[in-house]
Amino acid sequence: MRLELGKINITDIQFANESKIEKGVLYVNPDDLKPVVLEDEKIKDVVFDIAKPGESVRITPVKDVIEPRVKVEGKGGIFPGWTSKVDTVGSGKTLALKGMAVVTAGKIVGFQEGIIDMTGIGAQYTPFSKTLNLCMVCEPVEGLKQHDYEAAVRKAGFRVAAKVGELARGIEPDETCVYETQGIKEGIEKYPDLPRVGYVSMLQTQGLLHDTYVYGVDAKQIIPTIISPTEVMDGAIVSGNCVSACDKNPTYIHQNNPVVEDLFAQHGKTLNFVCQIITNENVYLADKERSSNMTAKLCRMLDLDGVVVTQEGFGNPDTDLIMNCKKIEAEGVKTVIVTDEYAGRDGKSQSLADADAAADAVVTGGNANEVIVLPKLDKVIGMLDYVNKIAGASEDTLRPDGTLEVEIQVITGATNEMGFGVLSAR
Amino acid sequence: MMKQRECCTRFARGILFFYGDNKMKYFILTNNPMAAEEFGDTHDVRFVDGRLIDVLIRARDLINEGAVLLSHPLYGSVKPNETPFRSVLLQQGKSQDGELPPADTESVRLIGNAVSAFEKFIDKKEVTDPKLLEDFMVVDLSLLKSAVESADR
Repeated sequence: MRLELGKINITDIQFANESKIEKGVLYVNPDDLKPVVLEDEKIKDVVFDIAKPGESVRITPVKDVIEPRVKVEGKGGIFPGWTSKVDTVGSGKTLALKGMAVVTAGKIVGFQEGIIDMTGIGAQYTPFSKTLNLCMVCEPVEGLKQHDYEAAVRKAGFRVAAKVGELARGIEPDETCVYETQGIKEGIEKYPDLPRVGYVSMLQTQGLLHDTYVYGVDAKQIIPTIISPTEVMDGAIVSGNCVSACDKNPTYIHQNNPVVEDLFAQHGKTLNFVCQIITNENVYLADKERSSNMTAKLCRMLDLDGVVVTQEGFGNPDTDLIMNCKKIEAEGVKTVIVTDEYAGRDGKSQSLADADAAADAVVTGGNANEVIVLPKLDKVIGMLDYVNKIAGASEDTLRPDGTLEVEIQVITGATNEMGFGVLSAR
Repeated sequence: MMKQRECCTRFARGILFFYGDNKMKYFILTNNPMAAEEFGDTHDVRFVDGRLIDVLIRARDLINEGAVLLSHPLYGSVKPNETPFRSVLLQQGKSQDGELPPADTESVRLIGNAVSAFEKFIDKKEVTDPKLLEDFMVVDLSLLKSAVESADR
């Protein structure tokens, strides 16, 4: 599969009478976007706002972060199964608005996490303090149940991102990257001496607020399968995951997966990047056994020499991670696993809820229990009402002077397990 | 409505009887009142009147007596010191000649890790806000349902 990804650098977002992109500036008329959100009768109202890097703004509780894209050549459209039909995507040409994101916020449940600070120490922990953020805070109709509210906000985010992405159609990109994977036989013939490397992407799939979708299908219902990473760039995988802010994978990170980027950068040079394998993280132990068996089998059938395995979340997924690692290694395929740690506030506790000697090559996104104090900021997009109730916070979180003492697990993307975060031991 | 529910339950039990040991027999250990309400009429629910850690410790005791874990005790990204509720699916161990069955090593390992993981999170004050309590119950129930759907398939 071959995908050309045209990148249009967005340098500013402004509200205006006409929605358009001109000289790198995204002009948005909220009245153009509001009907797109309100077409779902479960949403009573939506407020749009803009947050820019360096501003004294806190966005919370963040639900999803999405990069606007539009498909201009090739089969299908962006977000198949949601805003487009379910044609197989990942080929042709796609345009992406770089340097910006659509951020959905809204209090679906009272303990929902997710903080993006655009300035101060908190901004150093989230990758989304560096993007221009078009924020949408959705208000549900009276009495709407949590499941319905989650689905409504999730889908509204995709519709808005797709609508904004459409503005890029016809615009010449600032840069174009080409991503191409070969068929199995072709790849072996083309790169006979290079190690065959795959990427196992574990998707959060436990239930309400913990779900991921593939071509519109709830991923807890899938058995592991192979997918071209270029399909994911076109929005084949989207997030329905609201909690565990630090190590959930928002849709944006699926679209811009750093493991995929790095494997493509080495493709044809030091390795042959064969494909992405997607698997799930169900709560039922027999499902875990089945999925890890299938994943290991796929690695063997594809004659892989090595895989990178990334997980999403903490606790329950640690068991899937270790099952995958053990079984893939037992098939003679080397693994590197990418995770994060809950090592306690002092960093002295066991980092993962599961472990095995086969997991001898581990990359960490950082300790989610690390404590920091976030400054009081001038403006909040969303609401702070339940900030004491979220994970990594306590009754003393909101101090009298307006500062917040929290564990970094409350910050969106802080310890991301695809390596999208910025923490480093360097 | 109640009659219909009783009928369904009887039908379900009939199926269970018909398939005998091939059909998974399990019980739900929970301290979530919403879960007990949802599954009380159709499943074997054993309610724990206590905190989340009490559910884990009760599960650990039962596992030591031969019960087998069917769902992950650390399910959900809602942290164990945050949510007051937890539900666990367990399969009753079969006694052999009146003796307790041997403990399932994998279940022992998983429940031990879960109790250890719980202990490293700082203790937070008890949740009293009714709306918040309901949200925690709803999420726990949703995660439990995804396990029950797999078990009942």
